[in-house]
Amino acid sequence: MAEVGHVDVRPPATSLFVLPRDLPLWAGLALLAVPTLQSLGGQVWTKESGAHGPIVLAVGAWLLAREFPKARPIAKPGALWATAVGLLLSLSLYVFGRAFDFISLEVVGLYFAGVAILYSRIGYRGLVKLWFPVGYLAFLAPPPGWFMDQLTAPLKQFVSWAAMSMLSTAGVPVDREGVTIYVASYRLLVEDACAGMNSIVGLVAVSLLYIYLLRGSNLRYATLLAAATIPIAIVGNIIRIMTLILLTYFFGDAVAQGFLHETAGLFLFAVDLLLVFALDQALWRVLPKSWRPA
Amino acid sequence: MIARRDLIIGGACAVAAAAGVALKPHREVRLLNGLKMAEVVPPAFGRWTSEDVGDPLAINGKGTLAAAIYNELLVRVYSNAATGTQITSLLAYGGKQSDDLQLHRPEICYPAFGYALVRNEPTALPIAGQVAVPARRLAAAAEGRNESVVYWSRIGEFLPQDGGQQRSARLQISLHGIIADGLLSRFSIAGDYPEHDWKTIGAFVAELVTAVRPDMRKVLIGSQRASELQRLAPTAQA
Repeated sequence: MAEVGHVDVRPPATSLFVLPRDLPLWAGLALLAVPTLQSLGGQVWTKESGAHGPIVLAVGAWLLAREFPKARPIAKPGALWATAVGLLLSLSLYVFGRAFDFISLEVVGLYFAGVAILYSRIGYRGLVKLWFPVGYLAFLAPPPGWFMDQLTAPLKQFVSWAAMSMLSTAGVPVDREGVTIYVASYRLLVEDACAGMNSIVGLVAVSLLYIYLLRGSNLRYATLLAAATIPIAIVGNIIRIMTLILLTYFFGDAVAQGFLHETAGLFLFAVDLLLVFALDQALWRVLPKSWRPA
Repeated sequence: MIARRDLIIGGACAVAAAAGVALKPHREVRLLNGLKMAEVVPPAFGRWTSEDVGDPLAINGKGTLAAAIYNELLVRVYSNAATGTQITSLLAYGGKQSDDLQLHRPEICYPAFGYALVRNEPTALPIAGQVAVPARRLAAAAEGRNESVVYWSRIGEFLPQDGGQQRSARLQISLHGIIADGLLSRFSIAGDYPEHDWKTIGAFVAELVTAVRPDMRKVLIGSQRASELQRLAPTAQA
C-alpha cells in the first residue's frame, strides 16, 4: 500500500503511443478488443442498424489522436483508486458480456476499460478536454436489438404513414394493404421501404461528426444540433420512402429496386447531412452570438 | 520505461480476456437431435391435411436475417376436411441461440411488417390433462387483412412468454455452460374474430402436439412437459 498517495514523478503523457512505456497498456487493450471487434465485424456491423460501426471506430480513433496533444498541458495521472474501481467494474462487464454473449454489454465494458486506462494516463481534467472524441467512441456500443425494435417499430409506422399521405394528397395513386404498399400496378414491401429507420443511430453519429468538424467542440451548440438530428433522420427517411414510391410510379419496379439496393443508404446519408447543414446555417443566422462556438 | 502500474493494468486486461474465453459455454444441446422439423411434425393427422408453402411474412432469401437465424423454417397450411378451417403453421428452428442469432418474437416482427397489434397477451394452451404450454396470443390488423395468432417459443428447456423472459432464459442456459437450440411455433388464421380463432388454434395445437412421436415432443414443448404428456398419451395419436 506504499503506492497510495505517492506522487507520480513521471512526466505527463505526450502522445498516445510511446514505446516501450505504453506497451503493456496497448497489449492489454488489444487482447480485449481484438475478439470483440471480430464479433462486431461478424454480426453487428453487417446489419443496417450497426453499419456505422467501422466509421465510428476509425473517426473516433483519428479524433482522439488529433486532440490528444490539446490535453497534454493539463494532463496528470489519474487517481489510483479511481482507475482500479473503473477497471474492475468495466472488466467484469466485459467478461460477463463476452462469456454469455451479450455483445452490447461486452462493448460497453471494453469502452469503459479504455476510458479507465486513458484516465489513468491523463486524469479527469484531461478526459474532460477530450470529451468529444471519447464521447463519440461511445457510438461503438451497439444498442440491443430489442431496444432498436421497440424504438423503430412505431417510427416505421409513422414514416410510412407520413410519406403515403403526402403523396396521396399530391395525387399519386398509392395505397397500403397489410405489409405491402401498392403504387399504381406495383408492389413495395413496407419493411423494405422503412428499413432506413434501422440506420438512425448511424445518421446521428455522422451528423455529430459534421457539427464537430465545422463548429468545434462547443458543448451547448453541439447538444442543440444533436437533439435535432433525430427528427432530421425521420424527415430523411420520409424523403427516402417518397423517392422510392415516386421512382416506382414513374420509372417502374426495376429502377426503384435498383435504387433500393444500390444507393438508398448513401442517399439517406446525403439527405440527412444536407438537412443538418441547412439547419446549421439557419441556426447560425438566428441564434445570438453568445451561443456560437468560439 | 515501463511503469509498474501499467503492467498491472495490462495484466488485468489479459486476465479479463482469458476469463471471457474460459467462461464461454461450449456444450451444444439440441433437442432436435439431428432430425428435421419436417420429419418430426406430421404433415397430416386427424381431420387435418397440409401443404408446404413459402413464408408469407418473413422473406427468407439467401443472406437475409431469417436465413442466418433459423436453420430450418417449416411453413405449412393445414386444412380441416370437416370444417374447411385453414391454419398457417410456421415452425422456425435455430440450432444455436445467441445474442445476435435468436428467435424473433412475433409481437415485435408483426408491427415491423406493418401490422398493428390489437390484442397481445400471454395465455396457456392446454394440451392434455394438466399439461399446458405457456404461449402468447395476438390479434394483428393491417389495412385489408386481419390475423389471429397464437405462438410460443422454446429456448433450451425454457418456454419464455416475452422478450424479458427470453433474455433471462438465455442467460440461465449460458450460466450452465450450454449453447441451447430454439424453436418458434407460430399458428395463425386469417380472420376477424380473434377469440374464436384462438380457440380453434388451441384445439389444433393440442391435436398437433399429441400427434408427434412421444420422444420428439420435447422439441416443441420441452422435456418436462413432453414426459408428463407421455404418461397421458404414450403413442403418437395420428
